[in-house]
Amino acid sequence: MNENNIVEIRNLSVNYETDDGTLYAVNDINLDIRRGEVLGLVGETGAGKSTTARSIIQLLPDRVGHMTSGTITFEGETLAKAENKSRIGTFDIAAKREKEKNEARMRAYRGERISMIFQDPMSSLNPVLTISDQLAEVFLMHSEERLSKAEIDRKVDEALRLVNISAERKYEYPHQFSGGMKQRVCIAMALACKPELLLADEPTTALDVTIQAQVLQLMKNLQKELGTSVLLITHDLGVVAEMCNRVAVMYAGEIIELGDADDVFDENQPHHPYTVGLFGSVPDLNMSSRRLKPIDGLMPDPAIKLPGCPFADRCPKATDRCRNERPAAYKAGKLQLKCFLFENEGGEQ
Amino acid sequence: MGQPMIEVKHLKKYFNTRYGLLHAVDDINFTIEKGKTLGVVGESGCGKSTLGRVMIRLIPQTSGEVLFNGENVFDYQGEKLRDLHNNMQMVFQDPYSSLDPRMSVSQIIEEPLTHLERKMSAAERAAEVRKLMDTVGLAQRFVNAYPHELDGGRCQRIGIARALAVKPKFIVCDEPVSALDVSIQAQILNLMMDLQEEMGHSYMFITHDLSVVKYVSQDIAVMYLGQCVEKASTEELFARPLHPYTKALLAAIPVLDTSRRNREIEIIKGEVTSPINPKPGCRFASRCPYAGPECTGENLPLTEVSPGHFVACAHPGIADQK
Repeated sequence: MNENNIVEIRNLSVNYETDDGTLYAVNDINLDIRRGEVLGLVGETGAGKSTTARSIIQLLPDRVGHMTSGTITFEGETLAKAENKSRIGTFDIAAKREKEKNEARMRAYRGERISMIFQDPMSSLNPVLTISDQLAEVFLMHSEERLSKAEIDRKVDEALRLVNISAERKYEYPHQFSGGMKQRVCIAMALACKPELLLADEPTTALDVTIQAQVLQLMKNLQKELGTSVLLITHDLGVVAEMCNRVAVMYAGEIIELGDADDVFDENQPHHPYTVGLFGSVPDLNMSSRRLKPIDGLMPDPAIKLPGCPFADRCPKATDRCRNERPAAYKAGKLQLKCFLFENEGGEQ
Repeated sequence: MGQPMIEVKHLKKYFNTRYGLLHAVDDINFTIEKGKTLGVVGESGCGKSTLGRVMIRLIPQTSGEVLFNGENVFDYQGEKLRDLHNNMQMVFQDPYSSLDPRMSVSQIIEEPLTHLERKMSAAERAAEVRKLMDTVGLAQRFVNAYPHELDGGRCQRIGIARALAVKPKFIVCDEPVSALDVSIQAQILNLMMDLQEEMGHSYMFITHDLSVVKYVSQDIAVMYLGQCVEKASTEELFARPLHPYTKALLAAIPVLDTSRRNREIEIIKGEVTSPINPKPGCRFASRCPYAGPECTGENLPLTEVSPGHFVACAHPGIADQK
């Protein structure tokens, strides 16, 4: 474990066992989250971004999502490791007990040391509880000694002040708040215990641009103030440019490009063909050309395990080798790229 | 100046609600020329979708006129009204819920063809469906598929094919790409622009995404709470935004430039106020950092400050001076 890393993900694979067969959501990824950084995880729908975040906080859908390989370490402690493959899909009382034990252990992490913000603020708040009740729950769950009512009240007020919501509104219900305010309440809840790691899963996707700007600014300030490490999941490259120190680009369950944000956004650096296509697809305000350069085709079906590079079918530079052999992560320029094009540049990582 | 295809004059749409009169569309005026695209931008709830729906008579207007080639479409009745939608079509935001889940792709695209003036035989219609699928880049193997079998991008292509089936002259596109991933969004945007070049129809492109609108349209109207606050050609609007709201909208968009990371995002405070029984005066005043006493009390008209550039503000361009 590197001192600078708060989370280390090694060889993580996650499968979903569905009625239509196995879906390979995340395939053998390695990722570190450094202390105090904002790491952006970008990719399109179905790339495995949320699955990665949910694996860290162990909130994969019950009985469907399975970690089939790898380990996740948090501050030197093993948070999760691969399940025994032979047990998946069978009923096993020992496995069930183990799972229950694991759940009890994870409760100490969730909300206190690792928090998550979800995309849809409406469905992540309880509609029949007031904002105050929902915030108080966090403090009740995660405080060592019994807190008095007044103390909890004070803490709730403070948490709301942090996200610029006046304490007068704390006895209101979620439906009385606008989308942006609800997301701010979620942020207040996530940061209430000053967690070391915040997993933000598309926190501004459901919001209008002006409200998005408000929420991003708030997150940026709080991150600086509290020193929280953040894994920011988004499909919006503009949000990444604005927020992140480092960026990991995901495609079909793999991290295909990883590096400092400045380098990923630097045209003069070598890039994975998918990243090039992704940037070519975004209409940018500074762009003058009248045509976008999209990537042809679609992301491969996650039900099929491909022997080669998952992007090979859409890649303009693909060779036969790409279709049959899986590239490792190679160093090229300042980036780490999973593509045979860069095999001879800097050697394997 | 080309020939105006669509002229909207003093269009209003009010909804009666329990709490009062909701001004969804309040006195909107604009023209769209043949073969051109007007982008309508604004935050959710500003009335942009309502505007589109009223214009193609999906919901009744409160007052005002929409002239299509000089004729008021609100006067159309009977046969003529039915014919209206052979000239005006709409592409909807959510590709899943705007397609009938119990109809196959071919049935969906074929349905509008049965309403044409010129009756087509079944074989002709089938051939036309295949042609339309080619046009929008849908593989023929999907001809008997159902919407749930297809992804969002393909569903949106069906929506476009259905709109194109009757060869309309004007298409209202209501956030056609906001439900799609960027790489698919780019495919659809390119497709729509290619089709426009080929067939010369006009679009009204409704979106909240200013970078998309910059890419597709020649003119832009910025809406705020049912009113048009600024209207100009795309280049002019992006080069010289005069209304504080337009400026704030532009500043709020994250761009692909990491050097801007450390700037303070210029935020407009607060949130959209209620469109129910709004007070006269500038509706943006409560959030505007430059608002003064001159902004309230009286409705501000959309005035032409330079050729083709209209703005409804008591002190246009004030954001640049400070």
